[in-house]
Amino acid sequence: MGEFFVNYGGIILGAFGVAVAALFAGIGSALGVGAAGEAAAGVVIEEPEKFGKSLVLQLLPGTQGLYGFVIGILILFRLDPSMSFSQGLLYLAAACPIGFVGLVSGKAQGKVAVAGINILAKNESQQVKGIIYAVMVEMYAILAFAISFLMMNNIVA
Amino acid sequence: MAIVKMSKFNLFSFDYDRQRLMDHLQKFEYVHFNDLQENEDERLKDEVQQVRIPERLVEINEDIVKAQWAIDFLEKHQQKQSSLKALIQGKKTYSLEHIAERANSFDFEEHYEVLNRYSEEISENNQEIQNLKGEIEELHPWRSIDIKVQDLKQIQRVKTFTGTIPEKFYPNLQREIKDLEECYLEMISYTDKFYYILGIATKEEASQFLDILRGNGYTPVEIKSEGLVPEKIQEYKKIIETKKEDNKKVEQKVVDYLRYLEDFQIYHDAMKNRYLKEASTENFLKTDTIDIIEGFVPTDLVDEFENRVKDTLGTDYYLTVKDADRDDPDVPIILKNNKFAKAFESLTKMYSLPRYNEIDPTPLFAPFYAFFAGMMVGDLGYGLIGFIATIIGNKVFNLDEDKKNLLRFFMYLSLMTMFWGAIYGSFFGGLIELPALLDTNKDYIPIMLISLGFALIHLFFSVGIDAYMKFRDGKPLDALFDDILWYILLIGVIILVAEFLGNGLVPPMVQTIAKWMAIIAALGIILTGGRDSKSIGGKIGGGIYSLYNISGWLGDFVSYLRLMALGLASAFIGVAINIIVEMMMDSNIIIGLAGILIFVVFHLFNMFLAYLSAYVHSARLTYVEMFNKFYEGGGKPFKSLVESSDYFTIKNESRRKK
Repeated sequence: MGEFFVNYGGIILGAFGVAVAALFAGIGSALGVGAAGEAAAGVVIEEPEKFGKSLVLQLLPGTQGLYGFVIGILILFRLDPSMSFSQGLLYLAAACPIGFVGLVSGKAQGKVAVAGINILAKNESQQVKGIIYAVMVEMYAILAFAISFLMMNNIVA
Repeated sequence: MAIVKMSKFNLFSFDYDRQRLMDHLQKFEYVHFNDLQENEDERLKDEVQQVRIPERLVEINEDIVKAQWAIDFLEKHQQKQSSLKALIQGKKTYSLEHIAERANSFDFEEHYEVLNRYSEEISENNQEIQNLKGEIEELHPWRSIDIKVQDLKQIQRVKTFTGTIPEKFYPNLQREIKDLEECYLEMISYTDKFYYILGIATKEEASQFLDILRGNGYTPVEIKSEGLVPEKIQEYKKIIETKKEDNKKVEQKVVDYLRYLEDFQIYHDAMKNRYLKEASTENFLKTDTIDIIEGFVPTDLVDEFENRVKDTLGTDYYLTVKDADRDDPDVPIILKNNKFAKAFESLTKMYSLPRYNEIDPTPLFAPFYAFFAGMMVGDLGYGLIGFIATIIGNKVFNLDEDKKNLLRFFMYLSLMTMFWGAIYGSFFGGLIELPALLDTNKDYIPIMLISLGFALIHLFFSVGIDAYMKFRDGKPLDALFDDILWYILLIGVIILVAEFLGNGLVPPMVQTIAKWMAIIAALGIILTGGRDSKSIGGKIGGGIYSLYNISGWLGDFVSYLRLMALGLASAFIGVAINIIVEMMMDSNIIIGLAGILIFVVFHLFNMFLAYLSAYVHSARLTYVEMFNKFYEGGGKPFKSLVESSDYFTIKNESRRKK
């Protein structure tokens, strides 16, 4: 068992890195998009013409999952059975920012998107302000993505 | 200047002229009334009254609602002539006079009554159909009784029972009735856990029989039919058919009525404009004989305005016109921009119109906006698709002004996207290898530095606008303290940071200068930042707080990292799509074909997301990072005397050339 980890520990940890990035960021986005979608469906019952605008708000929390996917797939391409244990650990560490920030910010952005859909329902002309509020949350996912990306790129093969 | 110059007017005219005056002003269109009633002077309370005409407004509004109903009702029966075709045809253009005339010659009440009758007929028929369907539903369980229902009731010597028994009591019931001597129980049908039963008992045993039934959850049901049940059902079905036929006939009549649709739309618009005209007078004050009117007209139309008032009222009026006071918060705002900036005006309006003493930020942020958005999408293919789509849209469809501007807006974004796509060498995520000036795979550090460089340019430009406005307003000291000191401080700090990061990058001489620049500017900010406070403590506190704003600047800079991050994200998603599709193409032909489908769908999806992110994130950089530095907004939009219409483009004889 110990030998197994010594030989393959690097790629296993790297694979966990892929999983962390795609998994948690994906969960965050799924929660956010889901919550916003529920709210949007409520608006469309009475006012089907607001479908397009509500769709924009629903999609906003979806980007975290994409960031996580990008980091995940980039690490995936670098996985190699001969990776050292420490390299694998570094990839796992690189995946953490986007994974965890994606999880929390996706969910949080979903809440803001729901509030934005409220604006859309009650005062359509001010709807864009709801979008801007939601974009504020996205900032932190972007920063996490940037850090994950830079960390990953700085790991020496 | 991109904010149209306004002139303020005061007009006194005779009350009996009001209708005529308003008619003419509506034709003129470009008049914005101040609400005098809102800020009525207390001292004048006894002499003047407010103009109030609630009954008339309610009356007109009723007509608007009715016309709207008629339009909706007719449109529901319109053949789904594809909305595409409507877009290609575009809206018709009519003058306000034409609309008013046609509305007058259109017998609205009569046609409305006809439509109303049709609508009622249809809903009555539908109601009846619903009722009959309910009846059929009720009869349905009894359809297998093969004698006439009235015969069942008229058998002399026995009593019949019809009704339902819950499923779980049925075996018990069967057991219990065995004690009776002469009775008959038949299960007619079963639905939804209930048995529909027919029971027959002799008159002597009837009450006993009924007790047993009741003990087992019996609910009597009366069969609402006389003859055979299936015949009755057939009869009902026939009636439903005829009702449906009737409805079709009525609906055909409604379809014939569609030829009046445009008349209804005209009437609707005419009433809306009449409403606007009448409602505007509720801004006025009046004495017993004189109306007091105040408002604004664009300065370049003042002559025409004066002529019109003169033509309408002859000599019986008093009018003064002067340039609007720059700091008057009531001055309404019209933006006027060239073709490029005009496409971005909607973004300004979305945030808030400028006040009259500010500047129109549209032409200032528009180039940055397009440039940043292009950088965030950054794909030649995506840009090309966007560009072609907007060009075709503009050629094929006959769009109104707003939609044209929107298309042009997207055209500029897609052009910049192509530009950045060429720099990144990205074509549908690397479908075709292109030489890249900046390779997203390797040059992420340069791309990051470039993003920060754009941040510097964008932010310094914004501070520059603030400085310009302060100079223009004759407050050069404010510009020095709030803007120029910050320039000095930031340049100093940036040089020091650059040295800190890249040791030995900056010559020592420059370092020393930078250090002193930063120190002097920081001291200057502390000394002047709180100059509006009255107390010494407030001044010092305010100064320190001003300097603390430097942390805000750090956040501002970091915010521009999204330029890099979003570009990379959309690029790598494109790459991932291509890799997956390539793997599919390498296996057999069917999967390969599916791969092509996936390529198209996923790239379109990624493109949509990339444009959406670019749109909102550029808006954020504009609204938050840029506007924070110089822009407040809060101007009132100019309310002209002509309503925009959903159905037509309304052209006025004196409409300004835009």
